[in-house]
Amino acid sequence: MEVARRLLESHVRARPNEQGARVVAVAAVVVAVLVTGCWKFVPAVRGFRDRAAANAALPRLERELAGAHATDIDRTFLIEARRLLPEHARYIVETGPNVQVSTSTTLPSVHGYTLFWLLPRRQVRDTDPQGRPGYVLCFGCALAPLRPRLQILWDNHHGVVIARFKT
Amino acid sequence: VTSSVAGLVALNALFLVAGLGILFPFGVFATWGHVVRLAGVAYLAGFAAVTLIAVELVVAGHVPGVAAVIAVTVATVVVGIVAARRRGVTLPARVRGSAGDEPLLWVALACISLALVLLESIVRVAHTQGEVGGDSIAIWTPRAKIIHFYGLDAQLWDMMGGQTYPILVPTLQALDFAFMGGVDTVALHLQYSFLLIGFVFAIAGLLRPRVPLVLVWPVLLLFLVMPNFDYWALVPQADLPLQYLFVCAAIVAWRWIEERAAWQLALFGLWTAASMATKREGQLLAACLVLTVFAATAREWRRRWPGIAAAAAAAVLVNLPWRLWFHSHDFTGETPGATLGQLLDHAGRIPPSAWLVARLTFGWHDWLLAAPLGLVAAALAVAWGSRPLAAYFLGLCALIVAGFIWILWSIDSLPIAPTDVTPMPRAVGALVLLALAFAPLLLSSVERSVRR
Repeated sequence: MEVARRLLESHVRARPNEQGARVVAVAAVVVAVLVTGCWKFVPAVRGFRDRAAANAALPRLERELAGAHATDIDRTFLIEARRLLPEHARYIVETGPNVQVSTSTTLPSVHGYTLFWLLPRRQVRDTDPQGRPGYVLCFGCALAPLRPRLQILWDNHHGVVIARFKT
Repeated sequence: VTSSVAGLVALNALFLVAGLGILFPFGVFATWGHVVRLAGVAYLAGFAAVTLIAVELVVAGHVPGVAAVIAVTVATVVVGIVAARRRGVTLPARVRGSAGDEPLLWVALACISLALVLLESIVRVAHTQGEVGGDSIAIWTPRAKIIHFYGLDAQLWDMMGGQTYPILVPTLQALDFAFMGGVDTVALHLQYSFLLIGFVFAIAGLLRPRVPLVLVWPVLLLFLVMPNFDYWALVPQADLPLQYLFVCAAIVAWRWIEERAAWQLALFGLWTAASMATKREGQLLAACLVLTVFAATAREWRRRWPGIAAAAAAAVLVNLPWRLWFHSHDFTGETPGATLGQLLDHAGRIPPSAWLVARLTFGWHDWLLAAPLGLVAAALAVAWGSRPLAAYFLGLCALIVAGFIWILWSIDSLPIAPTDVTPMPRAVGALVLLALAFAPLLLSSVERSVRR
């Protein structure tokens, strides 16, 4: 209310009552904004500081892969895919029900997340006109029909496989 | 300081320099105090101009790197200096500033101090922030990586949904990667903290000297403590950059309506173009703004409308190459595409859509009292202050609300619920930021009526 009083003092002296009412109205709004801003200031700063500390406590790789937490895509699979596929690789992603997932968004997210994570490696469709892909990332897919054509590079034995097409 | 951080700082410094080059020939920097006051405005102008040029280069098949950005910045400054000399604009004068009769300066200074503490905390978070997922991973950053590695590669573009989404933000991120010397999706969050700082000081610069500091900075403090904003500010998506550009365009358009300065019309066109290049909703917001500016100047249409039409046409033209590119690759899905019959069939979606937009805009837990503040300030201005300003603000808000309802109405696959499956919880941020930015102007019009 100090703000309201000061505003009143600075403007009202030689003014009619209606003008005082205008100043009070503006001052009341400013006071409401100030009170809210100051009231939320400490929790906001504390929130930012906590977030910064939590972020800093994570290894860099975990921070880079934090988005994979939300969709619960196996992070070891992502790390291995980046290690095993050369930067010029062309790969396809096959998903299916042969893997246990914890969220309904996991399987639909695999294509997009691997595309994001593995660039500049080029994700293609298996019908890509520019030729056969060199690699397949299988996330619960039916691998049996493909297996004779594949060299398995990494297998978590729970339905997630990284493989190379035999030449 | 890592090389990534140094690169980001360098890029953003170039944005500021380019923006100063854009504003200088308009003669807005009478003193060095003006340079400081308009630094945020210059930064956002430089960001919009350089990134829009980069978008055109990307569409033309050339991925801009460090050298291209430096060249664009130098060219902007040189053109600015030449234009300034032709117009007889001189360097800013050294004049000692004075607080004059600034009311309740100590309150404003306290709010500025608190805002600086918050901004420092946000930069600290941004420095270590991990990828949060959602659309940043599904849409925005993958596109930036594609542009960085391959340019606009139609095959990779086709692997993602939403191929017609505008590319200003992916292009910005690709510039970030170029300046960082590689793809660093952790340091990338700092870019968003720089945009935020630029926006805060741009709003402060655009509102001054018309609005007393004691009205400007409490509202900006409120902006920085809003819980929903605290979450979204650092998410590398396009929502907040769009809202920053759009709100600045709306404010500078109002100032042009009142003051008729050429730089204001130029920035209106620039920020409108950048809004359209940022998100599909940006085209809707730009249309709402242009319509409102036309309506607000209807009485002087002979003198005013050619300028507005030129700015709007330039904004559309700037965005044309991108549209030609995605049409040439048969990418579709830019608009809801509902027919009149489908719209009539889904008319029952209108009332719940309106309720959802209102509920999200006025949500205390998300935005505190931002939207009510705008409404109260507008009501006070209608009663005692500037009615044209109140009509401009309320008319613009009404058009935007109608636009958001139309989105929910016409896309019947969107659930009418406050979930992130719809863009609404983020999109209403445009209304919220508009309310925050216009509240000081509206209140100051009441305060000025007392002084008269």
